[in-house]
Amino acid sequence: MTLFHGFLAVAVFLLLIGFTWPIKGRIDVLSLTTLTVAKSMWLSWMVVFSSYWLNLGDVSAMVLLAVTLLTLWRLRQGGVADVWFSGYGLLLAIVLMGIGYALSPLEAIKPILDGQIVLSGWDVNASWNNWAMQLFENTYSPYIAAYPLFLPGLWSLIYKAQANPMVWVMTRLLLCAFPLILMIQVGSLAIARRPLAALLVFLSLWGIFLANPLLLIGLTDPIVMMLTLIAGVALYLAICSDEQEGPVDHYTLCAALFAGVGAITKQPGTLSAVIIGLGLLLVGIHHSKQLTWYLVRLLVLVLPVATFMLIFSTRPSLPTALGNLSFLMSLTSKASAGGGIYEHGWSYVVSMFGRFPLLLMLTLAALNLATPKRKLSQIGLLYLAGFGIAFTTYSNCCAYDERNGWFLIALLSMSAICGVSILEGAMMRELAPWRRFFGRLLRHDDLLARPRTFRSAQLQLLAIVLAVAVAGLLQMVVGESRYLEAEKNARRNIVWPTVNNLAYLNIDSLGKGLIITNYQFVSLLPDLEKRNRICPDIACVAAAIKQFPGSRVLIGPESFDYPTLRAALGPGDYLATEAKYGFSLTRGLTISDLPLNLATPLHP
Amino acid sequence: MTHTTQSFSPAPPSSAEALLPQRAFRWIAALLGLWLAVGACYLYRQELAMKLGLWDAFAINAVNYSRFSDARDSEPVFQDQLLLVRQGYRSGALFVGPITVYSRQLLPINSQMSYQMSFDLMTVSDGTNGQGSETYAGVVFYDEGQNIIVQPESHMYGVAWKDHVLRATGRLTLRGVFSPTGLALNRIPANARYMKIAIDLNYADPRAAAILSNITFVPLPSVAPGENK
Repeated sequence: MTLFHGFLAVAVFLLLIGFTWPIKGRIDVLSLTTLTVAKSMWLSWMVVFSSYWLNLGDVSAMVLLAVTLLTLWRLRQGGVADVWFSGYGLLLAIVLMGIGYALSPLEAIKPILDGQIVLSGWDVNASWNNWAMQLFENTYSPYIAAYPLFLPGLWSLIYKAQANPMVWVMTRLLLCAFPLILMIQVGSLAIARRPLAALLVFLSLWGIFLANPLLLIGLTDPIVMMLTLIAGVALYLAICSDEQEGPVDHYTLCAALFAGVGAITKQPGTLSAVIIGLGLLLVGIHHSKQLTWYLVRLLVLVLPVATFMLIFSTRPSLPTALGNLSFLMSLTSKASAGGGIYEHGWSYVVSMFGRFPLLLMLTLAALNLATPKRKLSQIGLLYLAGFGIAFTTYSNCCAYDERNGWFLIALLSMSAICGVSILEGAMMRELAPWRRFFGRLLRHDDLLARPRTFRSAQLQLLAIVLAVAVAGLLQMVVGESRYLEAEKNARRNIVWPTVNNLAYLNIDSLGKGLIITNYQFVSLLPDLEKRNRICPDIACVAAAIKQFPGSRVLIGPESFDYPTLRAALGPGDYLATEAKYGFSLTRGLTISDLPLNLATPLHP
Repeated sequence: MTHTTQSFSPAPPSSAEALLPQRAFRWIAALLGLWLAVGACYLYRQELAMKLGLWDAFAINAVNYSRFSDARDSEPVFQDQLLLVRQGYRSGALFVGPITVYSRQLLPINSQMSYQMSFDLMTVSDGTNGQGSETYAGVVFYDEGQNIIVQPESHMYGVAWKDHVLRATGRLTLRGVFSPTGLALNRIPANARYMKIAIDLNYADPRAAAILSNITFVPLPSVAPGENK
């Protein structure tokens, strides 16, 4: 039942748990969806936080039960809030998704469709997923630097529900929620008659984000980039709903929730949280909101970071929040080959955007300067200033890798969206003939045109039933053994597939021996989990060979090398070599193959 | 129909703020379009020039070189590339500060053949310590799967290795031969199927500056043991 439990856990922690947070008034279905997902992510983090302190196990079933009972009770009470939607609005959102799907290169999705359905990548498996597995076992010990924990926390909840931390399919697939939210927001912008903003988010999502093959492999950088944009768009929509208090409250809460979890997804998320905080202040002042309004949003914004820092402060040895920053700065300096670090950083920015999109975004962001008294322009200027600060920081500390700066795309895109807003009204006027044309085409269909209203509890019940039904259906259709087999096949190819294949070479003849290596990911490969020894030095290798004669050693360059052992072996002692990373696999070794000084028993 | 739209849509922009007059909007839109079009033409001038067959008028680095050493832009356009690099009459490209340039595409090669690489270098600023432009030049080899070959070195700088080219030297031509029997950094690995030219200029010196031109990489009729310059 791994698939059933895994899928249901994704539904619970990304959607259903948010139903416990009451909604008031009237809300449209697209806003409700984004708001519920925001609440769910935020609440799921609180579950992770509680689990850390209380050593909790799987709580997904309990949450599901609580949500169901609460929903049934609300249904009896009359349903709480009115949720409305129009067929045209939904149709528009779906059409935009279809257009994006048809036009985008979809490099982010292709690997998943090709069977790479598990979390993969060096950092992903060495850090984030490793921490998720530690959280699953309630043995997590904070890393020496304050590396945020939102995604590992979310993954650990899935692992607990599956009762298996070695099946990483749902943990990867849940990442698809982030582009999906952006797709929904494109629909919201279009319905809010912000065609240019919708177009920019559409282009960023389908043209830049989904064209990135690393978007959904488990790295936190693209996720914090998407969360920054999602929170920004929510704030933008709040300002667009100028005269209506209900949407303003919903969207501002949504922005605070997303910015709050963004701040604990990766460090740059804190900058987005600060901008959102300032933006909320502007909105609150404009609407003369009461103190409670500010407090709720401030709490929502700050609590994730505060709780994370509480976890971090439990580290026994001296924690340093900035961790290896000086080392990273040296990497950056090295990457720029001693040249200008800002020039080097800018070359990455050009590369991540593409030349024309960058020109477009910078031009539109500059429009904010023309109308600094407008609220949206002020938000745009905040994002532009954030972009400047972020770029300076990125160039100094983190431009050794392009992905560390991906959040810059979101910051500049947000500034551009705010900048181009001065043209939105006039643009709608230009589009009026087209709207009349399509209106004539569609007006005969009253069923689609008429807005429909549901009680929120009805929709919540529908979502619960659908989640359980789809989970059950998936389990039945795919089947446990097929699912686990597919997962294993995918896991065989994590990080460096060619090196993994080398480890599997003639594995049936390994007998009781081990694969000894300093390539740490061998311990995560299916069927090798218990047939490996990770050895950082030759003494460890010698001890393992003595204990398990016939073990093979997987040797690579630099930190993966054992020079003493290599010197003692001849060309005929290697079973095979792979060229991509320069690894070799030795034949089964015994004590007699070791250099003399190592062959002496350690404990006579 | 109208009443339904108003009832479920957020306030249109026009209600929230003053609308731009139609004439002003059209002017702004036209100017914006013009600015973006001109900007795009400028940013992609090299690509446009190549498409239009005018590439000779432009710096070779921008047309044929990128900063990526991996298999991006890997179309097998060896003949085109050779044609480009054989032309010796285009102006050079000025590089200020440290930079590593690679040829844009992976170029198919025959590991049994010999090739000669050459280029002209003229230092225009001797840099911080007056030692000239520290230069490394050679090729990077790739196997059949377009994976970089790291043995014996990933960057086979067999044309120039830590060469300090001084301003007083004037224009200097550097040459190197790569062959299956070459020595050290001039040897073509047996499994090499592709290569990229790699040139590292003004190493670790932001003040050094040099002009690079006339880069050629051509097959040699016979094998010559790998000697430089």
